[in-house]
Amino acid sequence: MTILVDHLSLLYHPGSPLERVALRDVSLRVADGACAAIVGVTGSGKSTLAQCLNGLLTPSSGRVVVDDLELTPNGLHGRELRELRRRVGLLFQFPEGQLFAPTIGEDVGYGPSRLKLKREEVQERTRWALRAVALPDDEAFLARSPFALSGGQRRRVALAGVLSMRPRIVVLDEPSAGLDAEAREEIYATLRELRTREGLTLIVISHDMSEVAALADTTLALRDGRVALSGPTDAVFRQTEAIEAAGLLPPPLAQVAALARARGLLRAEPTSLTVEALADALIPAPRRTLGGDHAG
Amino acid sequence: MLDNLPVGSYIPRDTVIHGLRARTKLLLLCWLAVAFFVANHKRFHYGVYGWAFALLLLTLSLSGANPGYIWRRMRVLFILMALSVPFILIWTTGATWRTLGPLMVSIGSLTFPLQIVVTYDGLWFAVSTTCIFLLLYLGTLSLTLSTTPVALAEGIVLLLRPFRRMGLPADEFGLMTLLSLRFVPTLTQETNQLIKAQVSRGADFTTGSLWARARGVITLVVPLTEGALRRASGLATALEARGYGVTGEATMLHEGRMRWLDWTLLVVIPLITIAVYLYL
Repeated sequence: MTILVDHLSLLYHPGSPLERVALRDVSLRVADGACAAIVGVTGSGKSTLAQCLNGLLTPSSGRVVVDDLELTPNGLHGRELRELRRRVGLLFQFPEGQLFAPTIGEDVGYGPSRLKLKREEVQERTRWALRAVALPDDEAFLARSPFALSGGQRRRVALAGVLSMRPRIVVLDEPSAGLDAEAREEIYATLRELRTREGLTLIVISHDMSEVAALADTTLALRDGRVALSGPTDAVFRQTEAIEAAGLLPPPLAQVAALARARGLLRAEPTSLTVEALADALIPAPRRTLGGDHAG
Repeated sequence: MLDNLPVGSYIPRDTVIHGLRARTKLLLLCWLAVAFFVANHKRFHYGVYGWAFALLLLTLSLSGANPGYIWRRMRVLFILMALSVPFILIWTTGATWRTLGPLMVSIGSLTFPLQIVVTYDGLWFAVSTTCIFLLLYLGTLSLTLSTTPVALAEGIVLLLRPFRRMGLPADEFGLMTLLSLRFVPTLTQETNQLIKAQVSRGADFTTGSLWARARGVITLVVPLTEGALRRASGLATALEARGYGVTGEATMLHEGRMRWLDWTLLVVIPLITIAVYLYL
C-alpha cells in the first residue's frame, strides 16, 4: 500500500495568538513494501508528521493519500477515518506506557475486539501479532501480565497491539529509544522481518542515524517543519554539510565512506550503508603495507 | 481534546493586580468569604454584595481580563444556579411572600391539589446564595488569573507558617501544592498523547455502547495511574537525593516582600466592608 504526502502544511492553534507552524509544504512518497525514515532534531515536526499519516491531526493544507482514502483539510469522518487508522498503524514514543490490560492477550487483542470480530478471529490475530514481534503465543504467555515483562518485551507487546489491527503501513515513532543494545537489535530485526515476510510498508522516525542507514531505503530530513533533505538514504547521508545544517550527524559509516571517497580509497560506491557493503567497496590494500612498518 | 482545562488559567500580564502579593489576594478573598456569610444574616441587605461586586469587577478589569473569557468560564455556574434556585424557593419555610395555586395536578388516576408557597426567607436565601456563589467564583477567578501557581503556593506557605508551632506542616503543604500544580500540564499532555495512542489502535471514546466507552476510559486510567505512581516515586527519590527532609525547615529562594499597596488594601478593604455592613 503506497502512502503519499502531498504539499502538507500544518498549523497549531490557527487564528489564535498561540499559532505556530509545525509543518510547511512537506511532500513524501513511500512505495508499497518500502521503508522510509524521517529524521530531524527535536521539534522539527517529525511526530506531527507521523500523526498526520493516520488522521490524528488534520492538515491545514495539502493532503495525505493512502490508496483510495484521501485526508484533506476537511478531514475524514466516521467510517473513512476508522478505515484510515486501520490501514496506517501508529506506534507512539515509549509505547509500553499505553499498556493497560491485566493480561498480554487482552492488551494485544484490544483493537481487534473493538472491530466486532469473532472470538476466534481476535485470538488468531493476537497470536499472529505476538509471533510477528517474536514473542511466544502460547496460552501461558497470553495470560501473563504485561507489566511483569522486561522493557524491550513490553515495547514489543505494544507493537503487537498495533499490528493486531492488521495495518498495511506501520509508522513507528522512535521505536528503539531508551532500550539496551540487545532489545534495540531485536526491535529492528522484528521490523526487518515484518517487511520481508509480511510485506508491510514501514515509516520509522529515529534519532539513531546508524539504524536509519541500515534500515531505510529513503530518508526525509526535517528542519523547522520543512523538508531539509529527501531521497535514497545513502544519497542523503552523502550530503554531509546539508545533514549537519539540519542539526544531525551522518552515521559513522557514512562518515567513513565520505573520508574514503575523499582520499580516493573507494573502488565503487557502497551499495548500502552497512559494514559489509562498505568493506566490499574499499580498494584492498596490499597486504604487506599493513603492519609492515611495525615489522620493519 | 483537553485544551479547555480550567486549571492553570493564569494569564501573564503586567498589571497592578498581578503585582500584588499572593498573600494579600488570598487574605482578602478569605475576608470577603467570611463577610458574605455574615452579611447573609441581615435579610434583604445588599450593601456588602454590591460593594463586593463592584470591587471584584474593578479587580477583573484592572487585571486586563477579557470579558468574553470570563463569561465562558461562568456559563456553567449560571446554569447550576438556575437549576437550584427553584428548589431553594420551594423548600424554605418561614413567613409567606407569595402563594401559587392550589393547582390540581393529576398523575394517572390520582388527582391532588398542589400549592407552592414562596417565603421571604426562601427568596432571600435564593438571592444571597446566588450572590455568594457568583462572588466567590469571580474572586477565585481574579486570583488565579493574576497569580502564578508558584506564587500561589508561596502565598499559602507564608500564610500557614505561623501555625508551624502548632505542628502544622506548612512547608509540606506548600510543596504538595506546588508539585501538584506543577504536574497538571504534564498529565494533560500525557493524557492527550495516550488518547491518540489508544485511538490509533482501535479505541473509540465517542461512539458505541456505554460499556464500550467505559472500557475505552479504562485504557486511559490504568496507564495514567501507573505513570503517575512511577513519576511520584522517581520524584521522591530525586527530592531526597537533593537533601529534602534532612534539615527540617525549608526557606524560600525568592520570598516576595509585602509592599505599601498590599498593606493599604489589607486595611482599607475590610474597613469599607465593615462600614458598608453596619451603616448602609
